[in-house]
Amino acid sequence: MTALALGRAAEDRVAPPAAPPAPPHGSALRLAGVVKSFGSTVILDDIALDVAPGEFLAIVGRSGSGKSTLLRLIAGLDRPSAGRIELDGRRLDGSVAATRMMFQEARLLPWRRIGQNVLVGAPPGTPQAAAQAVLHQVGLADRATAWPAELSGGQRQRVALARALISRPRLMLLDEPLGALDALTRLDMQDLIARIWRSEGFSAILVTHDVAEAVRLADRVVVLENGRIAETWRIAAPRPRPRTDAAAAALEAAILARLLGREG
Amino acid sequence: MRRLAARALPWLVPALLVALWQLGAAGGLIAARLLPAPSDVALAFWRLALSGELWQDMAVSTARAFAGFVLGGSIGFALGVLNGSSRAASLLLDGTLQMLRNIPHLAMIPLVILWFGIDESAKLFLVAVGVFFPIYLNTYHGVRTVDAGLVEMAESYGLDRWRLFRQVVLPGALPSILVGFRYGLGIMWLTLIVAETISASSGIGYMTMNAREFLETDVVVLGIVIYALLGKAADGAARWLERRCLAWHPAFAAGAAS
Repeated sequence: MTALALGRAAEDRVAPPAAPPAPPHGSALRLAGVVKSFGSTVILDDIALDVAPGEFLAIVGRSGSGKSTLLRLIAGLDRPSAGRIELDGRRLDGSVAATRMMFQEARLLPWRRIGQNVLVGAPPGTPQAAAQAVLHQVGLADRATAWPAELSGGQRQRVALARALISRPRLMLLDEPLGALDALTRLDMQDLIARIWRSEGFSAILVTHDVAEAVRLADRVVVLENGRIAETWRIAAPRPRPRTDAAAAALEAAILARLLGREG
Repeated sequence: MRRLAARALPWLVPALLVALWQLGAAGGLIAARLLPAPSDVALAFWRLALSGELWQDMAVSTARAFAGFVLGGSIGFALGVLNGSSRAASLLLDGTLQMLRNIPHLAMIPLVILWFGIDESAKLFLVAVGVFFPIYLNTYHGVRTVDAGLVEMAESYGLDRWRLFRQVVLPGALPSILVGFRYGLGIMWLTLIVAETISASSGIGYMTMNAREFLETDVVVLGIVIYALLGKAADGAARWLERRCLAWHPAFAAGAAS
């Protein structure tokens, strides 16, 4: 049996994850009193959250809980109505080169071949060899000259991952990137993301409605409810984690119960 | 063999029509004064080609057509990009342009003759106005309907405005822009024919109007055939451009029927 530490952390300050193999070059993120409202509708209310360098955080919640909005704020695509977002101690202002985002759709440019699409993530003038290297990392080394339309959904997300990786980001934001994939492809992608996260050492924030995915990938799972952080779980299971595991299943059930409001 | 048949098939009906036409003219069913036989038209072509008159008129017409196209097309493209990407510009200008669009540009011929007389600038102006609207409208539409997700991705990846335009907006709008381009080419010839027929001292339109004065029906028909061929050539060029520029697009990929 895996020694899975199942516990609810009272506060969300958390120690760095259990010794990732690569030296963590991940960003430290701090949100304090973050509010986002559109008109009189409050989407996010007084969010306080810390992400340690190299940590893998998952945010789960029902649709409309504000989880994607939160990620967009951290990506610098939107600005908070109040509060502070600090990245490595500096106040966030717009999008940052060290932060990369993966969306639910791959969002590849259909008119550029795969290798050229990967280079979108790199500064102008980056050689094609650099794209080739990251494509190799995601297992698509032989598809550099294909058009996006020729790839499957899972392969397209791999390209999107390669595009995010090419600039060696320090914070990776994952906005339900596996939501549109079939179940088997999704498991493969989870393995790939876990492996790359471990070797690259970036900090990661995954927004998902798939609790099993959150439990499998994250060091910590945060439940977002009506724009507030309702609960936090820490997951100290060793990595690489198996695909099925009784303790993980129990934790998954507990989080699901919390999400569905059938607590206790 | 089958591929050869597929290539030949579209030509079957035109070939039959020409054959019937020739037979009808030779049998006296069609009066040569009203519609000369295809062979007579071919002879007229030969005669005018040898004298060099034909090439000169064709060159004049083509130069006029393309000068007007470049002028109207580039203004239409620039305004389409501007209004498509700036909401303020669109609010300021689009309403006026949509209003002007509803004026048939050929209705302006009397006014244009008053303004410019019958010299080159009149024809240039008419062609430019005619070409402007399809290119403007399709560029505007193309730029506005570029996938917002791609633009957001590009912004989160820190692309500056020029790279955003060059790598995301322009290629995204290109299918629509090329539709406008193709449409504009058609209007270009149409406008030029009308303008040259009304007032010109050179060009294919002048050649045919002149021939009408002398009842040279064969030259008149030749002029019409040449317009058809020039139009077809322009359309072919536009399709070639589509296939080349949109190789990534499943609907235009090499080998796909367009």
